[in-house]
Amino acid sequence: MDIHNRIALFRAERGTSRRELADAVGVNPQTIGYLERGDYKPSLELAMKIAAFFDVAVEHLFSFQPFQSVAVALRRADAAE
Amino acid sequence: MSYRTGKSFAARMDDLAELTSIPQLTSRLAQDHQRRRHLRWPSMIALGLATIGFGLTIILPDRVFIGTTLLLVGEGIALFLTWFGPVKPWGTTRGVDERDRALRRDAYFAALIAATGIAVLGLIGMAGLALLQGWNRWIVIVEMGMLAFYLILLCLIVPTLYVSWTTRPIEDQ
Repeated sequence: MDIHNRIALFRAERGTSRRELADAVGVNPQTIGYLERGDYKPSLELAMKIAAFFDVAVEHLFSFQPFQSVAVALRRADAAE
Repeated sequence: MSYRTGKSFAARMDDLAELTSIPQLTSRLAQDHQRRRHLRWPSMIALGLATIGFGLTIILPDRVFIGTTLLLVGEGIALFLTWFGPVKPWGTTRGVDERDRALRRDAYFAALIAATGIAVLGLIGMAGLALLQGWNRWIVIVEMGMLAFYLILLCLIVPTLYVSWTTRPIEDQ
């Protein structure tokens, strides 16, 4: 089963480089790249470390279902208002 | 323990190993800042050369020099590729994260399967060829040696080959 993630989005939002995130969670920068591309499924430990780094719950970063795009989320938020 | 240097025999052996610069090189290659490359075609070339060489030693058992040369060239390339390929070496933990460990496990498992399969087929094939072509004792010994060299090559090159072809390189940020 595929695991989708929003690491790249959170990283861009915080202006964090791959190396900075990698150093913070104790992996190589390439591993962050493979995670973002969906080519590698992280261990629970790594997933929790990344979630802790961004100060969000794990399910905000990782999901079995694809995350909706930012544009769709904004459109839905506007419609709800 | 030497009274002159105050070092144990093992410590002096370590010093000798350090003099070769190989431990430093291995350590540097395992660092995360060392760029690991996908070596698809070089590893194919190394495997191809060695396979042709091994095949030639079987086809021309009385002229093993040609095949042996190709086999050793392939082996030399394979050894070189393990230093720069995508799989970090066994026995080192510096700069090795969970993805590296997972990759290494899969890569060496693929190498184990390949080497085991070739070993079984090779032994049966050698026995058959020895009977059919009437190889003498000397040729059988030489061919067994070539098979051993080929198996070593598989253990060296298959991890690099496997990871290079099953994963896509990641672009630099």
